[in-house]
Amino acid sequence: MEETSVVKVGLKYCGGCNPTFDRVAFVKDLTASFDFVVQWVSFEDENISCLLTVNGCEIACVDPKEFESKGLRVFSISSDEPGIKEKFSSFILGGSRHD
Amino acid sequence: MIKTKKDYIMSLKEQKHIVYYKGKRVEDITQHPAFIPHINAAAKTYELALQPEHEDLMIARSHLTGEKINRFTYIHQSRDDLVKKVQMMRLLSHETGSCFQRCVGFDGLNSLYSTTFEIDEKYGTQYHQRLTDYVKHVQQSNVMVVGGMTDPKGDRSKRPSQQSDPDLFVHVVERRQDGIIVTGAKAHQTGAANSHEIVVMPTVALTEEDKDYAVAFASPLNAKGVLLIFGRQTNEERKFERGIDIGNLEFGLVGGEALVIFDRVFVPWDHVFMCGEYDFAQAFVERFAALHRQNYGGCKGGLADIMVGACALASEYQGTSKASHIRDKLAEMMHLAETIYCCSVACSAMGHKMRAGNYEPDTLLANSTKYNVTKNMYEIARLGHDIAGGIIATMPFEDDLRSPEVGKYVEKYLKGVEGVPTEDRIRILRLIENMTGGTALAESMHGAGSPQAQKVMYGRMGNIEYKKKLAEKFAGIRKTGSS
Repeated sequence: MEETSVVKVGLKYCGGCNPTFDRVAFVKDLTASFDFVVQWVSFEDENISCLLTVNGCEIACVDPKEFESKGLRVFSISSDEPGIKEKFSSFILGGSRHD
Repeated sequence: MIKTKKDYIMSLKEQKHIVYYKGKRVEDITQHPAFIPHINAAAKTYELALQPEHEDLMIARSHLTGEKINRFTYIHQSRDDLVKKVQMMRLLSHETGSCFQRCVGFDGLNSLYSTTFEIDEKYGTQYHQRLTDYVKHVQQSNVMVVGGMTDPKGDRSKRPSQQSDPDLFVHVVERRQDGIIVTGAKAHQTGAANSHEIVVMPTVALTEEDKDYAVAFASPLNAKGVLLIFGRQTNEERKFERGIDIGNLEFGLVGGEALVIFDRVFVPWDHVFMCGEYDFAQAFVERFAALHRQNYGGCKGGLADIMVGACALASEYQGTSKASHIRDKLAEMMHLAETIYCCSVACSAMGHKMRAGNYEPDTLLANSTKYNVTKNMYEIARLGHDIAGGIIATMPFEDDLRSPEVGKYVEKYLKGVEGVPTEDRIRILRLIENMTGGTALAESMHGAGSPQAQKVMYGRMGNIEYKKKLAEKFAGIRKTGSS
């Protein structure tokens, strides 16, 4: 049986001043789906190579470029669009950035 | 260091400051119903800072120590910081539905930061270093600091030094080798009863005769000679009730205000940030006012969001939500709310760097923000009353709803549309009633200064000569002597 390796992913939210969807509930659902392959940690954890940024609206106060410039792979969410789990899955497996 | 709500409440229990409520001393404000909603609201400034989903707004990195700190203790370092402050205000309103009280001290520290720097430049004093040390203490301890701005003022036609009672403005009564003795009072002090320390600042422009009134300092609220008398609010007695009739069940509706008395209070020199430099009082007041008026589109805008939601629900519960005039009124309410938010963001985005290195919002736009708030919040309340209906003024008590004798009639005759419990309709209408009541509106009018204080700024900063030149140019008017 193949052993699944666990990826450490940092989580960075915007401040949530006027969100257009329930960021916390959405992320809770998403993270629960990937618990078997992802160890969720703070965005300030020094041993991460991937980051999930969560913005509450399209203004997207958390700018992924800020983290990409530090060499991190970033997956960004700014809405509760359908199909996000599949996209995040391919991101974790080495796929492309999403925003 | 105060981190959690529990820490905050414990610190209030331990400080043993003197607070009077309705003629009696309150031994423990954390157990007293008149104070609990305000404590709960202020505690949110601590709680949200610990939540990853709000950290981006609630936490900043100190330019003094490099440490992560609560944003309410921060000195703004960019325009982006000023915008984040406004966003934080809106967020906290969404979380409390009330006033969270911690902004006045925040604004006091920021306005003193730039002013002390410039006083030192002119007079070679040491105020800025003292203030910087004090800010570090606030950042490291995370204490809640109330901003002591408004003096009682007595006869408004007279200057501080002309008052028949010299104590109607806080002033220095004695200068000693180790510090100063001050006497006077600060009125309408939002959050004072549940703060730890106070930063006292001058409240008006001053002349040489008023030199003793040009004083800024920090003091613990449990210092000898400091006494607080808590103010009565509209529907004050509802705070002693439980349940629906309170409106906002946990946080109250506005911040709790107090009259803070200083009866010969000693302040050591290291906590004195201005003492006699009357020529800086006006600049200081304008800076503080700009920083404080900047907030109002954020915090009141956030409260207006709740009002819009409450009115939308009320119309759904009552079967009026599809009426075009209701939809139009809800759109108007949102327009008024977003307008004040726009103003706060604009004055932040147009903020400027001070000589001390910190950033402050555009003064005129910050005043425009607050002036709009004095109008828009009343109009939002008016539209809210219109949508909700007269029922907000005539509803029975919750006890009637629960009564074995008459509850069935309240249930029956206050029913709205099918599928919505009568109790839900009562709850939302009670929220609207409480959020649009007396003290909540008066706070929008006079908090951060009355509307006339904002309007005079157009005379001072409206750049009317430039505007006249623009008009002359397009009208083809040439001044005598010009070619």
